Amino acid sequence: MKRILPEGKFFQGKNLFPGMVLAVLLGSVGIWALITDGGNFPKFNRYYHLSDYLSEFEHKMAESIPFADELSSLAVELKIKGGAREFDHIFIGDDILVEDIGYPDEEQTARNTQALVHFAENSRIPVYVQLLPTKCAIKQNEVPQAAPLFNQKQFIEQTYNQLLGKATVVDVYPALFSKLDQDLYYRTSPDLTALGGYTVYEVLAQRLDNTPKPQEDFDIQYISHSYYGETYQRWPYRDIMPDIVALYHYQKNNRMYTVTHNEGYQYSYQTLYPEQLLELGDDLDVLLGGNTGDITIRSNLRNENTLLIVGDESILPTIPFLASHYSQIRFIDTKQFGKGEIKQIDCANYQRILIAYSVDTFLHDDAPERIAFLDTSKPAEE
Amino acid sequence: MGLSTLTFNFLFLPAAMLIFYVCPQKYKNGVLTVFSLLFYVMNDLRSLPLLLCSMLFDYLVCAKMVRSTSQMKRRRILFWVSVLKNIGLMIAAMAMFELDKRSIPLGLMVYTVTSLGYVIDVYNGDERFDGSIVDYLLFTSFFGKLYAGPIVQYSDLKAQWEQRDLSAEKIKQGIRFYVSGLARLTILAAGSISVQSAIRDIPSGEETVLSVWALIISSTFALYYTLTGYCDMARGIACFFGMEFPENFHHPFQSRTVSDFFNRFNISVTKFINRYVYIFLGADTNGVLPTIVNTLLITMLMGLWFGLRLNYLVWGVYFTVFILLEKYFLMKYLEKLPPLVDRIYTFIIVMFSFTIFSGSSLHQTGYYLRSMFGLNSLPLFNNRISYIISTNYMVILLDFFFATSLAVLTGRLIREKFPKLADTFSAAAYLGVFIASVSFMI
Repeated sequence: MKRILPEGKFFQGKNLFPGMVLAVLLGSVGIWALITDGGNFPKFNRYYHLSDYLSEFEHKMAESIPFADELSSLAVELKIKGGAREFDHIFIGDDILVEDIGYPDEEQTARNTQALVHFAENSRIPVYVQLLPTKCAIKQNEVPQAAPLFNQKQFIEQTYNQLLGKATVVDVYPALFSKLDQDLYYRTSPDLTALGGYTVYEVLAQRLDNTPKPQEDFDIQYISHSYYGETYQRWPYRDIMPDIVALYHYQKNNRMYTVTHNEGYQYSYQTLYPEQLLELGDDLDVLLGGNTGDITIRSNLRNENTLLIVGDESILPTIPFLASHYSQIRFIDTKQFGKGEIKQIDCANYQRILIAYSVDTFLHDDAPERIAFLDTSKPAEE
Repeated sequence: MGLSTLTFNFLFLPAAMLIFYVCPQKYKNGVLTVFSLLFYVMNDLRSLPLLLCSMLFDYLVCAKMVRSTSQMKRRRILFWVSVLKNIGLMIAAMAMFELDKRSIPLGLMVYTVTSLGYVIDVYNGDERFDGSIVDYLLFTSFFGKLYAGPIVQYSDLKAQWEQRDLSAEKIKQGIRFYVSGLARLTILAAGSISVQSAIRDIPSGEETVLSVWALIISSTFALYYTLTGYCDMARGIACFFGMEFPENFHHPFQSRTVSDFFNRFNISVTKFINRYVYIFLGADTNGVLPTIVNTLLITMLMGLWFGLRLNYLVWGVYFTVFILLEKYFLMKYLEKLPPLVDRIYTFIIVMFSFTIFSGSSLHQTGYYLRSMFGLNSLPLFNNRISYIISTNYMVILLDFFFATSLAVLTGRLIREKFPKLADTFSAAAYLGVFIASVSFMI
């Protein structure tokens, strides 16, 4: 029988019990999140826009509520059971996450291509161009069959055709595709592994008139067996093995390297792989000390060969291999620099320029467009 | 902080419930009003002055009208000023949304229509004005119903506040609505919206007949589950605070006639328009022509509830055609047909209406219709649409399943066959659905 509350009664005792229990049950979930991770919740201050604050707060709640990981996995499992194979543009393959780069931003791609062609035409320093296909173009066996993918191979070929006679193009697609069963890309991140970097290097070195060093000349060091990359962070699909991070050390000729980062102030490491960074953050930061946008690698080689690489982070895994051929390599990430800063770069010290972007960056980002500001009017000092 | 966020469900709602339960009966509405305003602040701070000014204005108009019972002219002027203010506010907000892409203030349609109905009732003497601004604000702006209603009557709520039912049965009923609404929002509506946007992302050269059909169906379900999700949550939350809101959707996709569809779709808005416009205009008692005009006006207003756009008006006109056809011609045949045939007929009519509803212009609607019948030389299907459908098949099946009363009938069947297990089964099912819904919010 229903018990109805008369107006004016102060406390309704056990009539309220079911509602109270429900409120306590629901509230305890929120309180649990606040108590266990309270220190990390954003603190409201006058600089916050209320909607931004609440959005950050909600994000933190999602990370902190009890069984957040299990609930997140449950949602993924339920969606997979419901047929889903792609989440937030990430395909779930057989123990690998494959990022779908989607279709091009047509206008941006046209501007990037135009800038590239114009630069190659006018540069007084020999230009080499490499467009790196992303994981979804190479690991096609891990992508659902009917999934509509942008044809990166065709795009690379079409772009290279426009550069005929203006630049030397480096087509790494066939080399990567021939090894599609190998771990060329990390499972949980869009980056090339050291093996992927080596595969690209084999092709690139030849196009740059070097003889690639055989793989046996490199010692392999495993620095992490529990690496989860940025794709995993974006979509925490739990049923996936962590990545192994390996480093390739060139073991011959007692080669010494100095890696100098320029972030307005300069600092250097006396190694290609500063392992102390393992303690500080992302395992991949060990590679050259992380991508700070302007990195110069000097070696004790006496051949005076120099190379300027302008591109994005996709070329980083290849640089340690290239370093064994050059006395100096400078890497500039145009994603991290504006027009003015790029104009200041002194290209005269370099004999060749390698433009190296991932297809993803080339299709969607305006960074490649900024190579137009690179000043190569002074010829290279031979 | 919408109704389907973790912050709302695990902090805001329990805090409101706990404070509401422990405070004395006479302050309960005050607590709910404060929480409703707080909810508004957290979701649309910039529009709070508009809400407060508009509601305060209507409140003062009602107060003045009550005090001016002998001055009919003054009463009439006050009444029309308030009516025009409310209609103008809705039109201005919708026009700004369409022309300037400015978002409509949170709950504007709900609180304005609720208040408008109250002003009309007070003017006509159908509602008593009791002078409590707290109760009035709660009635118009209760946080649970700001998103999609339902539209409620002041006298209904007043009676509930006086005899507040917070029994275990009421809380159980509330949990059922609340979980059902949450699941509709987080699983079905979000899933349908994701299918809809995947189809909209298909480049124009790759559209197919199947992709246009799938777009219309997913758009229909996205709208339906968003509205029913909010309304069910509103009903559930209302139960937690000892109130009962009316049903706003009653399986409209299994209506047997188009007129029946209108009686099951957005019920509280239909009732509002019937009560304050249709009956006021004389309903269908003045002959054929006035009936046609009145029906046209009603269905167009039903369309305009969703926005100030030509397509919504035409959506209303489209329904008028079928409602009148049924009234004067088809009904005698429909009544003789098996229910399943009637339902299929209505479902097709309603589904096609959403080609008008989903199109951003009549030109686009025409394109959809031609494409659906293969008149645009589009291929029947391709890899892309097959991929979208195959990777979302469960959402699409669930959309169809829950659009009917099959889930209710299944529950009833279990209760009849296994009466002792029914409660346990029901509790386990709701708990499972709740956990799944929360997982989809993360």
